[in-house]
Amino acid sequence: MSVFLQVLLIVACVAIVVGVVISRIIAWKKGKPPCDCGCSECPGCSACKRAKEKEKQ
Amino acid sequence: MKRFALAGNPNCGKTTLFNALTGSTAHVGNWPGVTVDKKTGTYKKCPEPVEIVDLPGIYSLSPYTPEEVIARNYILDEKPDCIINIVDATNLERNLYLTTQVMEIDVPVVIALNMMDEVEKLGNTIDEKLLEERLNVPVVKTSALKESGLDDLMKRAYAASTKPREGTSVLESSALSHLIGDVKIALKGQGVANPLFHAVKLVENDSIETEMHKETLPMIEEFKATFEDDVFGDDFEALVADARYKYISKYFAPVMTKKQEKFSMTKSDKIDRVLTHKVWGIPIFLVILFLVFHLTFSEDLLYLGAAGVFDKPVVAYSTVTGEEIAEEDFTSGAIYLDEDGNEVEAVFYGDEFVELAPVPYAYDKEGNKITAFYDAEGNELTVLADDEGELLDLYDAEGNKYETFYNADGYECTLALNEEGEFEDVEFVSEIDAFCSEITVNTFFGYEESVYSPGVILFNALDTFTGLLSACMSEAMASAPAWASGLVVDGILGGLFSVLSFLPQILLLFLFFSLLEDSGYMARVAFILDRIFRRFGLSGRAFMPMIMGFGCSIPAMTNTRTLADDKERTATIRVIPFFSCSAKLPILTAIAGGIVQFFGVGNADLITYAMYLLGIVVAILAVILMRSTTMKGEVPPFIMELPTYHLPQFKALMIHLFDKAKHFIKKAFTIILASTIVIWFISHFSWNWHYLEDSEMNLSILAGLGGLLQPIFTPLGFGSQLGEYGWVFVVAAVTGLIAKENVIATFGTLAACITAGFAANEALGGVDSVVQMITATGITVPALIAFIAFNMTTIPCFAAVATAKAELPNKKSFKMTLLFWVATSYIVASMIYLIGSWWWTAFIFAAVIAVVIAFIVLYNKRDAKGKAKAA
Repeated sequence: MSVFLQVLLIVACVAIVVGVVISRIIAWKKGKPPCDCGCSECPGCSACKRAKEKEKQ
Repeated sequence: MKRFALAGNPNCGKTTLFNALTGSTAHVGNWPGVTVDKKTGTYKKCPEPVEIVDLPGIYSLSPYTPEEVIARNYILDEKPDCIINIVDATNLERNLYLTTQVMEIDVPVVIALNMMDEVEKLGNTIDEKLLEERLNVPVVKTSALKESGLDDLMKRAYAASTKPREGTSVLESSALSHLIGDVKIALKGQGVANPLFHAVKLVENDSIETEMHKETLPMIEEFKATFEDDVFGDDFEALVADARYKYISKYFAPVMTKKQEKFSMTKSDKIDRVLTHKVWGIPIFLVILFLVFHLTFSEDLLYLGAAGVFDKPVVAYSTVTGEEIAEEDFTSGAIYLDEDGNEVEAVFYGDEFVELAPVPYAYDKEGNKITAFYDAEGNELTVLADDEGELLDLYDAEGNKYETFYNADGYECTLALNEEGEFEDVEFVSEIDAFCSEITVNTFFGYEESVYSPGVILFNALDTFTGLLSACMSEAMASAPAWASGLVVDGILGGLFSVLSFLPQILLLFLFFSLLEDSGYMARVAFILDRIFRRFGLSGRAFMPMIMGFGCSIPAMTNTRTLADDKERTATIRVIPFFSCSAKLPILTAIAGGIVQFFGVGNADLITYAMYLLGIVVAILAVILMRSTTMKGEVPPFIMELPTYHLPQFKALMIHLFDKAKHFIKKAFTIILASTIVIWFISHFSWNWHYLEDSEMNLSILAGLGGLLQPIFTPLGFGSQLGEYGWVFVVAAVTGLIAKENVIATFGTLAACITAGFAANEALGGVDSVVQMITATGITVPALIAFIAFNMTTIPCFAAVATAKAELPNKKSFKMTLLFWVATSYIVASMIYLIGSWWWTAFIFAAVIAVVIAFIVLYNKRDAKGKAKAA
């Protein structure tokens, strides 16, 4: 495994962690509950929907 | 864009219609109260796109429940272009009660006579033309379930929305007409919108209206004083309701022609006589719940294994005399012959015989067993390595050099030597070969020792697939540095796969729960449990959010909005996490599997079922405690319309399962993936940021942090007593606060690095990683059960905590809730560990509980006396 690939592996790992954390923070600030439990059974899905509409606007 | 609102009674098919019109996948349940907030979607077949708003089910526009407030506020404040009033045609009269109220608003109204297929099935007919004539609004026959009549409904709704409509009331032909007319004129003069609706509500003494029109109240009271009624006196709410029902009975009910007027029991009634029986109702529910768990988790579906059907006598023969030797005469490490004449070794665990393991031999290219190795000169060798431990060049008796070796199954292998350099075993060259050699039909179906349940078969299939993937990755990274292969194979794949392999069982469990819910059975369970819950201070209505908690605590907590009493709602939110959600399922299943595999105790399905029941029992006990101390309050009456039983919709079930799978996988590849990466890094770096080998993991940052918290968990059985790797349990419990799946993902990431019995760089499945942790720490069965109980009852994931914060009435209540979760989990887990380890501690706990009960009783008596005095 070349040094380049090793560096790439570390960069990918850091990107995944940072990406997940940032996306969670953004979603949270937009009012989307990061529940991951499935919108179809969630009575709060309209809150997410309103957040998405705001985002579009 | 036009906006149409869907309004109707609970469980009349609004959400089914909403899904059919908008192509949405909103949750449809065969019980009233599924929708507690409005949902929006778009219908595109009209001349212009139409926004459809699905409102919660309501019986009236009076503000009795939170759903009624949501629906009323939306209709009055947001002013939709049209209201589609969905009427359950099988319950026409009762459903039209809401219709009479909706029609009082100045908005176009269209009536959807839904469930017409059911009406026709019963042999009844409805004259919709006559109903339309009498209501003076369009009426369309529909079946949301079969998607019939929907285009016609939307066409007529769109046409109605283009013309303004003034509200009309059936009360105009009642004795109240003058009173309402006077109030209406007064409100109209003040420029109030929807004057007829507000006038009727003011006459009814509606709490919201009286608050809104305080200045008009004296005038209305004057009007009311001129009115008299012999039956209802001055109860205007009852007067209005009575007038509405009288009008409905007189003018609307005749539009329905029933096939037979004679009373007869429906199929639902007949089923209910058994399922909602006052004695057998609860045992039947427990049996059904057990069957669900048995079909999902059992490794002995028909109990044939437990009955000994698959037991075979262990037969071995003497290598010298060839005589048969009985199992009780085996000695540890002795060599015998099996039925095929192959050499086998008796393996013991302590004094207990375990199995007859084949004696390892290496084979040559032609498949001949190698019984002796020679050097180039033809001397037989016993030590096969040089001074530096390198394997010597080995020859057969004829002087041919061995280039490659094979095992009995023909897989290419290398020779494994002991410390003296003598032949000990053969080892696979390829990780993939090693993995494939262990796969048999028995791996999936278990036919050799029992019959697996469908859930276990699906689990084994996915577990084998993920195992193969990690073997391929391990082989592909064979030349990579140890840290890189460790990170990818142990860390990332180990963590991910240990959780992902439970997906089939989670989906199967959900399928069963959805079947029970959609068929209408769960609504019955709420009814059955109401009798028990009521004694403990909760109504049966609180059961629905709790049942939703089996899926996810977040929608369950949101669903508590249907509970009108704040104290009841707070108590319900606090106990919802005790109903084990799907994220906790891998913890239960993996540890239950680990207990069965390592200790040979019980059945995985029974342990999982028992833990689910434990959650329910803890929830009930916690509610009793809360409702008899700090959260005392009246239990509101529980009135729920029992839906008719029907076969669940295949499409709705599949949509639900697909949605669940999608979100589970998404969660695995985001939050769990990120967590496993972080866990692997901080478990392989020291405080001074030096990379650590697997064997040095105890010096890592993670071990340091876990070690700090370890003593706290000692009374729970997974603290300081577990030795050097005990911190893994503490870390797993803490990472579970991010997402509960992380508990098993943490085991998956770290267990493969603890090389005590397993090969390094091998991504372990969930159960295997638990077995590995048991081997490494020596944790006991009570401590493992306590660990499950702790994770089930402690603070839920961050998302659920945030939802609880939003749903609870104030900050103080939220802080108390956090404290409640921590205290409950600590007490429950320590009780399980201590009683499980030292049975006599049960007496101490019993004494403490007795003192607490006595204290509560005394406190309540004093409290009651104080209140009586004050009164």
